[in-house]
Amino acid sequence: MSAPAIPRPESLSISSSSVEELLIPFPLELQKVFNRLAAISRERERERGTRKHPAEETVDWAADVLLRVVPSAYLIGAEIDPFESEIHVTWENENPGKSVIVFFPGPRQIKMYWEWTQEGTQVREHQLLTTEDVAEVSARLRWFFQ
Amino acid sequence: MANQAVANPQLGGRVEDGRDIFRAFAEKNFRRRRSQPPHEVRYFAYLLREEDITDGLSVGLTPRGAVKYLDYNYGYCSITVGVIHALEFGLEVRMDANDDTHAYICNLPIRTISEQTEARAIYIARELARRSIGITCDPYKPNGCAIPAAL
Repeated sequence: MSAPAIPRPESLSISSSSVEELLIPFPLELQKVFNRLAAISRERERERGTRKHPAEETVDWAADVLLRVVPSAYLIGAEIDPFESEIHVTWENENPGKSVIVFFPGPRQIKMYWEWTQEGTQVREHQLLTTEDVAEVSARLRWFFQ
Repeated sequence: MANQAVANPQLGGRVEDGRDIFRAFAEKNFRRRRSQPPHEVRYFAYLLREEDITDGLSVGLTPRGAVKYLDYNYGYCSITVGVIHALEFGLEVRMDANDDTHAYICNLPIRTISEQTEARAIYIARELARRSIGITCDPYKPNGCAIPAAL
């Protein structure tokens, strides 16, 4: 008499998109984004009082939002810039002419501007959205990377 | 809009369409360096900052005029005045009444008024950036040679 078959645990398929999104490691390219935010904080300390800089709370908020972008691979290639008291995160792709700017005017504030251009200069679509929902950032980036 | 052009004694006449004007890169992120010119001009170069609200965005009729009020610069770009006037947002390039090498881009939207002005400000800044030519990303020193910047 043969031993009863022990059911095997269901294997997790690495190709499952949801699992794949969670398994993306934290490579150097992603680390650059957060290093850049840390550099913005250091700039503020170094140049205190000389000009406007994003507050520490704004830098922390930007990091918090970016950490919740799913999949995190969307952060690869994002450019991080301070502008006066704001932090701007920009994604630009000449082909097919899509751009997304996520900017943080202050803590708990997210604004997103996106644009789709045709033949280099003709803007066919552009919009600004104010939101508190971090999921909207991932959704807009999904549009960008489509 | 920041309607600086109305009754502002700091502003002179309208600059003619055929002229090229120059916008200094006051910050490194106003431009993106390419391996060869023309370099890419970024929208930050044309976003109105607090200090620009009264008169408008500072530009030069020469590269020297563009950088003269800055302690430091990261290069400069050029744009034709007619291109700015043709954008149909009511933008106007007006002379600085006190300096014949200096001018202002007037009537750029102030971002903080409403979501609509903010959207328009970013859109216009990007339009102007696309139509600008990044001449150099090295600091422009009118009395000496350009010193290569770190980035």
